[in-house]
Amino acid sequence: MKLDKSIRIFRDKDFVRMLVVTILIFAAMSILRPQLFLKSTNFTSMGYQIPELGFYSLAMMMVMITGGRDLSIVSIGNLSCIVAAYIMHAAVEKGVEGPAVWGYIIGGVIAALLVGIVCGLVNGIVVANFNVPAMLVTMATSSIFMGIGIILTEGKTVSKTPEEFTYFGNHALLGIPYMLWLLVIAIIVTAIILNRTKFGFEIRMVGSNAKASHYTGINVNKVLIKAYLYSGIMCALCGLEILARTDTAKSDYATTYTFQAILCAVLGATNPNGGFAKISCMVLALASLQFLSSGFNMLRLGGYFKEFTWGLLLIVVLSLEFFSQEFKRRRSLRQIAQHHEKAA
Amino acid sequence: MKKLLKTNEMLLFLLIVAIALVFGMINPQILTLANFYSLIRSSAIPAIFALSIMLVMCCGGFDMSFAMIGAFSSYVVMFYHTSNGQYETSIFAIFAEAIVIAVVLELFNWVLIDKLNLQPFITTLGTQSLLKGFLLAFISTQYIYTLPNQVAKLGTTYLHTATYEDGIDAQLHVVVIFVVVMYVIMHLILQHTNFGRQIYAVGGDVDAARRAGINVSRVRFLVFVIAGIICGIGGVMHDAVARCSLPLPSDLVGKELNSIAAVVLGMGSQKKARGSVLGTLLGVVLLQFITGNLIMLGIPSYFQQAVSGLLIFAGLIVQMTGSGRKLVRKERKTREA
Repeated sequence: MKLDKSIRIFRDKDFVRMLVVTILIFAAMSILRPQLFLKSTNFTSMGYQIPELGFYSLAMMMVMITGGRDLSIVSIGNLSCIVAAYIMHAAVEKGVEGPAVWGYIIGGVIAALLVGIVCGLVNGIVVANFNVPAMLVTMATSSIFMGIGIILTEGKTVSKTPEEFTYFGNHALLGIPYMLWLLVIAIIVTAIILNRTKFGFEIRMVGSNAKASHYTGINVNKVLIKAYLYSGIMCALCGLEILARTDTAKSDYATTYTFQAILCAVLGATNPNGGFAKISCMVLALASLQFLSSGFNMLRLGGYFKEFTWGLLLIVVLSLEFFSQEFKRRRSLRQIAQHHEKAA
Repeated sequence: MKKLLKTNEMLLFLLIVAIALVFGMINPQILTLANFYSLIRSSAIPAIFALSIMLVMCCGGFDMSFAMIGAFSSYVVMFYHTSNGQYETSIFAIFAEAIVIAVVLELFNWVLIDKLNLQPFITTLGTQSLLKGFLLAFISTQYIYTLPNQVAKLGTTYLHTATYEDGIDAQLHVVVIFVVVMYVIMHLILQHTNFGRQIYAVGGDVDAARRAGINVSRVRFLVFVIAGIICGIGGVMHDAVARCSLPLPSDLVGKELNSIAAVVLGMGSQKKARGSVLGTLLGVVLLQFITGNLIMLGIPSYFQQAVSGLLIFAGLIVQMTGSGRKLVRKERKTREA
């Protein structure tokens, strides 16, 4: 029975294709820079880098299943990061010590999550109740959230949070960084929500056909709001992760993640039109993007080259999807024609 | 007359006038001729790019790469000429080269969107990233401050000069003529030619357009070609007005939302919202007027991002839900009847 299940996952074409890509990238980087890439320090540093993109990709994926886009993920992440940084920085400034520090840390974490929830709700309510495309809504709210961050910080960087908090961003448990554990938990929770719960089923239905799901009695608006809410929480987690690792908060930190998150979600077999997503593929996509990124650094290819590759990769993946479907369509047409000939 | 008052363009115009009066009461400097000239100067380039994205949105497509394509084509041309010391190149040659590059890049988008039937938004986001990376990784990252002579001359040609109260000059830039000409031509194409009607038909319903005998692929091809021409002109104009050529001009790339918002503001809340040339122009002016005058109202500069975001957000909701609400009301009425 168990064997049967493990075989079934290899029958999944998307999964196998992504697995092959990941292995190819891994092999290429290992051959090109064997002394650097295969070192354990490289894997540890990759473990510290993955969570940021991971959280954002989860946030993007959840919204993309509904057929929308969330372009405000990075702004939400940075805003919650800034709010948490202010609260935790207060502890350092006042010289609080002992258990009281934990009060500030927990307060900061809760505040960050609240920011994520509120921002997600704003996105969700507007997208669900008003006749505006999700892409435009989140583009505008992204500008607002980033603007609030700029107003709070006056454009400066907020830094210095308690060491008790940054410890989690820079240390590992059982060889795996704390934040990677957090990401793993988030991925598992997302997988369970998507594949095992009523909400997961509803969200996929809404993504494939909102009108039909409305007629089957699904509350489409509620599902949409929940999806954006989930996305907001993921962004807040990402903001906390950034704060724990870098000990700084900035309103325009890493704005390119929006594009990378879309890329990662699309590589992870998420249908851009909504309805489908595979967590297993997304994890592989995350790993392969990280291999590429680290590998490029070792080959001394700069950030611009990476950006070029991301764009190329996205277009190639989307086009491949088209060509494989076209191929299938033509083959089935030919089969039908042959069938008719035989019958005649 | 009553019909004219009801149009979205009239509404936008009245909104601009009202806001201008309120702003003028707070700071009378805002309503001077000099400030009007600087408003024109700051909205000229966004207006050109908004025209290009409007056209693409009219035919039901989407383009996130238009600003990058403009910047790319202009920078490549400037870089080629200045690094070879050809400072005497004719301005027509520069425009022609930039337009050719921009058209080729837009046609790349066209192939992906029309031939391969990919999601416009995600695909053009990919094109944008691809071009950005290609430009910076393989061509050059240096800033060009000495432009070819004729471009530099275009950048300092003024039609008229006005002075603020405190003695600072503001000039009516010659670019405004180009903008007006482009808008008039585009208006004529969209409203008074068969091709223009076909664009709206494709944007309204692709299948219906196809059944009506419109060659959808050809319409989209021409739309992307025209969008490319506009982007190429806009890129060179931007460099001329800015008096330098940067690989990633921060006021273009990453600020696509401003142009898109202007188009959406100009669309109006008809049953099937569609782009309007005059509406787009008014949308650009409205956004530029408000964001550009925040400092003169005494609002700190770090409020700008949030305020402009809020404005766009409010505008989007008001414009687009108007149509939704009306539709719902109409449906309810027909059901009751």
